[in-house]
Order: sequence, then C-alpha cells, then structure tokens
Amino acid sequence: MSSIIDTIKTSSHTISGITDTVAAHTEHKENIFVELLHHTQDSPYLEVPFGHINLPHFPPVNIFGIEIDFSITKHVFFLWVSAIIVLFIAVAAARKNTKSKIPKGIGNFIEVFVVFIRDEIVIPNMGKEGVRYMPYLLTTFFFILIMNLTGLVPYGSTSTSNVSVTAALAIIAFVMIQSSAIRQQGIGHYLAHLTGGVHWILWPIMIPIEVLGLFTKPFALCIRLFANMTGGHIVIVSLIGLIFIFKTIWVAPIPIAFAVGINILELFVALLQAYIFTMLTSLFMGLGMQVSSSKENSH
Amino acid sequence: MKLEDLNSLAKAYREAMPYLAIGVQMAAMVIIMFLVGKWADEKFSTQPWLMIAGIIFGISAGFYHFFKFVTAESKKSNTSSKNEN
Repeated sequence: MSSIIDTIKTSSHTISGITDTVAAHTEHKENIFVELLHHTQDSPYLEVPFGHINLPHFPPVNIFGIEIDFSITKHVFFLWVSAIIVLFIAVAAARKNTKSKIPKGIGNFIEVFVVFIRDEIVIPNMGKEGVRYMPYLLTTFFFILIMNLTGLVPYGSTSTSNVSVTAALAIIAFVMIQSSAIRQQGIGHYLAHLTGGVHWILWPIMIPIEVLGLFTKPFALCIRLFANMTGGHIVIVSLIGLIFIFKTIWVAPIPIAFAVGINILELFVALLQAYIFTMLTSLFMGLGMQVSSSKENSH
Repeated sequence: MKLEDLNSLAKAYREAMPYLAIGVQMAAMVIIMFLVGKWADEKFSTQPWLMIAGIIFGISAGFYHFFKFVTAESKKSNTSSKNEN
C-alpha cells in the first residue's frame, strides 16, 4: 500500500517536476515565474513581509516500516490556524446565542450557515434522522471553508491544496459514511447489500466491485477538493507571472485585472467547494441510510 | 446576492451534483485499480499482467456503478414525476 501512497504523492509533486524541467530548459529567463509557482506548494518556512520564518524540522519517525516526516510545514501551520479560527468562531457564536434569544452579530451570521446546512443539505439528503450527524457536517463545512479562505489572505496558504489534507478529510468522510450506514441498517443488512443481490455464484465478482465502489466516493471527494483549490492558485500565479515574462510594466494592468477577477471567483469557489464536500458527504451518508428505510416501507 | 438566489443555486447544485460526481467516480475506479495493479506487479514482478487485469476490472466496475446509478436515478425521477402528475 505504501508504494500506492508514494505514487499518489509523486503525482502531486508533478507540478514541481514540471517547473523544474521548465527551469532547466529556460535557465535564468523565467526563474521568477518558477519561483512564483513554488508559492502554491508546501514549504518548510512561513512567508512574512520582508523574509521567511523557518518552521521547526523533526527527524523522520519510523512507524510500521514507513518513514513519516512529522515536521511542521506551511500547510500544517495554516491547518492549525484554521482549526483555531473555527474553534473561536464556533465558541463565540454558541456563547452569544445561548445568552440572548434573538441572535445578533456573529451568532446571527453563523446561524444563517447552520440553518442553511440543515435545511438545504441534511434534511433533503438524509431525512430527519440526519440531524444526528449535523455536528460532523457543520465541522467539515466550516473547517474546509476557513482552510480555503486562508489561501486568499496575503502571505497565507491553502491547506486544502495539499493532497494529504484532503485525503485525511476523505478518510474521515469514509468512516462516517460507512458507520452511519451500518448504524441504520445493521451489520447483517449492510453486508448483504455488498453482494448486490445476485446469485451466490457471482459473489466473487460482485463483492470486489461493490467494495471498490465504497472507496471511490471518498477518493473522488479528495481529488475534487485538492484539484479545485490548487487549480485556482495556479491560474492566479500564472496571470501574475505574465508580467515577469513580458518584463514590462505596461502589460501589468491586464493580468492584474484578470487576477482580481479570478480572486473573486476563488472566493466563490472556496464557499462552493466547502458546500460540495459537505453536500456529497451527506448525500452518500443518506444513500446508505435510505436503502434500509425504503426496504422497511416495502415490507 | 439575495438569500433566495443562494438557496436556488444550492438546490441546483444538489440536484446536478450526483450526475457530475458519477463521471469522476468512474474515472477514479479505473485510476485506483490501475495503481493497485501497478503496485501488485512490482511486488510479484509480473509486469504488466496485473496492471492490465486491474484496468479491465476498474473499467467494468466503473460501468457497473455508472449504469446502476443512472437506472436507479431515472426510476426515482420517473416515480416522482408520476406522483406530481
């Protein structure tokens, strides 16, 4: 399995490979552009005005024969920052809403999102039983939203443009999808569903196909979020890089105008991707839960 | 943007997203099985047979899930439109 993870990791680093080849071919010509493109990737230092802050580096730890580097990088740092921001916002909103009956300020603002997720995502997809899973879905939504938005702040970085982060989110989603299905259907019914309802002779073919279907849903979630967030940043960096390629200030207004436009689009995409991740997770959870309820109705 | 606009946009995405997602899932199945086959090939040094078997399995699984989803969805939309009429 480790080499599969390696393959995925290497493919996520293809961008850096491409930039290296570009650098090798054009040498000193587009060095600034290549350097700009490196800003979209993970790095062991933080970018601050007038320089860098180096983050602590730990020696790799060996767990079950796999070497894991637990050093803090830019993306890990912003992951923690987003977690702290989510915690502060949620606690502040909860305190404010319990104090007064009429929500005001930040409490009101967060309540709009909470009600939106309940009425537009959870109840249509999962029915009334889905409200039980609201805390998880709300956490996912706000966490992804804040992580996406930290990349649009100057000197910030988007943790979700790292495939490891989105993979971890997808693994949590996978556990939630399967556990909600097992909880609703019971373990026997859940296993029976994996056979696809065909004759037992076909089981050796059907079971791997159904099991593969379980894994691809979170995989697609992971890749979708990663690709959307990385893609947007590369577009912005490429537009800004045009100025450095043409090496004249007179070309600047056009890329800047387009970059501002893309930045506004990125704001929308940050919200949209958080919504889509939450919505698809609840949809998949709902699919597992509805199988049982529809069968109960038919009996 | 008004809240009603946002709600209708969210509704549109909610209805279209399963169809948009199924294409990605079909591709993901082929890619996952390709990677698994490639890894197994390297482990048992049987290049390239397990990779080819993996791809064929991935494609068939992708098509199976695709058609299963589409037939289930069309049945669901047919019954809902009948109920509306």
